[in-house]
Amino acid sequence: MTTANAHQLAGFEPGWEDLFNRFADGLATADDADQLLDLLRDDPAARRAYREFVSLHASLQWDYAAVANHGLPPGDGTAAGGQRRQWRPRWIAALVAGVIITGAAMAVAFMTMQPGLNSRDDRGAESAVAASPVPSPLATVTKSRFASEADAVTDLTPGQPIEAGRLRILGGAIEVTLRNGVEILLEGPGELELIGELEAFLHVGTAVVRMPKGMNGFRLLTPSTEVLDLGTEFAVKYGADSATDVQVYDGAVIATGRLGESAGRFPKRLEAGEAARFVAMSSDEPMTLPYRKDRFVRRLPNDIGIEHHVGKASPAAIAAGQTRHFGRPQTEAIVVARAAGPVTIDGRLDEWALAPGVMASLDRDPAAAEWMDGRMMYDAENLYIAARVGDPHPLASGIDPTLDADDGWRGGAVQVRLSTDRTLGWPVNANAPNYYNMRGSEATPEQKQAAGNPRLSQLTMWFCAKTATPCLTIAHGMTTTPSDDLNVNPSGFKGAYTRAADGRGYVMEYAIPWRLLNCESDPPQPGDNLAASWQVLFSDEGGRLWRTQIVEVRNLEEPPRIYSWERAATWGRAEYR
Amino acid sequence: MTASAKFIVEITRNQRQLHAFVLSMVWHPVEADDVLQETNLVLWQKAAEYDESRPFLPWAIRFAQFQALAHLKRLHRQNGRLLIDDDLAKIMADEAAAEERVYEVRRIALANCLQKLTARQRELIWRRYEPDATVAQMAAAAKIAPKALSERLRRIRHTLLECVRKTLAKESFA
Repeated sequence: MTTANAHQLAGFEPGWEDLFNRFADGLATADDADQLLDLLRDDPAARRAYREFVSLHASLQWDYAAVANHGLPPGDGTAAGGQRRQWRPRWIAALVAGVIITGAAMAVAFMTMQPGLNSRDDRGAESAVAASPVPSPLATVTKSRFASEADAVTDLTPGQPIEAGRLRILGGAIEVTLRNGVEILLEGPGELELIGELEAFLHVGTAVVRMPKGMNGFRLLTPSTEVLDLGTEFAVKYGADSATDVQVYDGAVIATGRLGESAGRFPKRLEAGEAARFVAMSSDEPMTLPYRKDRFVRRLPNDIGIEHHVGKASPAAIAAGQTRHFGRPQTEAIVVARAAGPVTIDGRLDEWALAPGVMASLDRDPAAAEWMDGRMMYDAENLYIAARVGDPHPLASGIDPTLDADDGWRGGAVQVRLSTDRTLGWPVNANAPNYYNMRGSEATPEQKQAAGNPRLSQLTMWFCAKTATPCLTIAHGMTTTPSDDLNVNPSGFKGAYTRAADGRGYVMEYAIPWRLLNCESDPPQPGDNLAASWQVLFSDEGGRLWRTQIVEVRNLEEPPRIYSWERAATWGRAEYR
Repeated sequence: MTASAKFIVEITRNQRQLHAFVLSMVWHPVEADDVLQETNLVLWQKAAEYDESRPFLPWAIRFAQFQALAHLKRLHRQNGRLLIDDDLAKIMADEAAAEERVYEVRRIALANCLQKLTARQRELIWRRYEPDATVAQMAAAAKIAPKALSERLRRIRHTLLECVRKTLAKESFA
């Protein structure tokens, strides 16, 4: 018998736990068997303790380990061994027969919850308790497009080796290939932690995993969900509300909740052509999502020589990255003109002659293909926002507001942030939680209250190419991104777009009722100087990857390396006339 | 052979409990799988006899009891193996069926408790419960004694049992 427990479990007599443990590990002797039989026959308390122990052992055997350990790294890939035993084959046959006989689809559901079913895992048995040493590099950057890393330290040039650890990009996308051939495409902004050849953790963002033919067992974790590959290509997005979206392109995966009530849910099997949303802390079944083949970026084009990375190489490169992320604003205020009459939202801007615009071009380069002419008007009912935008890939956004509203900015969009609360004055002192997190501080109760002001609004406007419809999301207060509380295409707004005659730009025009900005009873008045900020975002030709942006109407006294979504004091002024 | 939708729901829902009960009788994981398969086949054949107005588990666990006993009796008594008799098997089946709800709460609690383990502890659990994994093989590969490895596992199980108990206590299931 092994050492007595330091802390005896209540209801367990000394030695019981050791005895049960030897049975669980296949180390019991004939004497142990006799002892256990005597206990079980004579002592109800022993039977109770025994059931408790077996319950734990059986649960581990049934679903947690049998599912999870498909994702364990097979040592250094050299482990030898026989074929993995197929689980419950006769029972599957019986169920198949049952399905045929009864026509009951529920039996199919039963099959999906069996751990290890349909596994094509033929790797050998684990050969050691401790993880085997891992040769380096773990992965290599194979493709990169418009990608910029968050810390300007990691070089994302294709061919660059990457060790285990975190990979953070702010925009664009990169593709890394692990040494076993697994390919992972990470969209920015995103943070992926490479753990091993068959395991990674997606802290935020979107990743598509593609397995080499014949290989399976890759495990992609998010804070709320674990996705186990069974030989496939699949996409995972972790974003707003701590929800994890999973979409399977090929093969199958098993997804399991990891937080709170969701952790006790049955693993969910998803086949090719299926998608589902796993909500953290919920015991409800995952929500079925429509399968959208083009929802995620699955492939990057071969290097076309535009841009690879910000890199750590030169101050100029870093400065370029800074410009890309924070812009080079030169205008601090925009005039918001009173509409002279009714405004027809048709994307033609016939009524906008009296609204002076803010004009800017990318990097202040007058020859840039990316430029903006943004305008604002108002009346008693609405705020009007319009812009002429120079964009080589106009109206191409592939962002579906029903699935990815929090990503509306990515595919090409106009964002306007504004205050309608004149008591706040200018500049507005309110910061998103991220602002404090990044600086290692914590917001005071007063600062949290200021951040939650419902009359601070962040608008994202884009044209959904797939449905050919104008879209709008509104987040109130200073939120983190992605926002957990987005108002998506709210009732009452109007929007219209027209494509530029030369095909290299567009016109957008929106009417947004003051009601949607929480100031219906007290809208801005002539003479008000309230905070506002503009951001025009540009994407790749597919309308999926954020490429660059123009930031204007910014408080020029604020340090440049602060995002407008995280600090309202960076917003410029909207001067209502 | 016919099966109602309710029957299929019930047999699906109760697989874990049936598995746990069978495992408590035969211990060997592969044999437990086989006995569960045989039990499911019998249940399927008996589907028409299931009275939907009555709880499923007490009815189904009786078949698991018979199948497990039959399995044990087919085997000769082996070193380190249980040979449970009919009376004890009936008691164990009755008591297991009575704990249906507690089993479910334990299972949910366990999922949370597993998240609290260290990465090394979880890895050891994963490797231990890999299909076909044995403590003897794992210990040989790690060049340690099986008992030493089993003791590590015991400590992890002990941690999990304590955690599950605390969770149940909070939810008044202790």
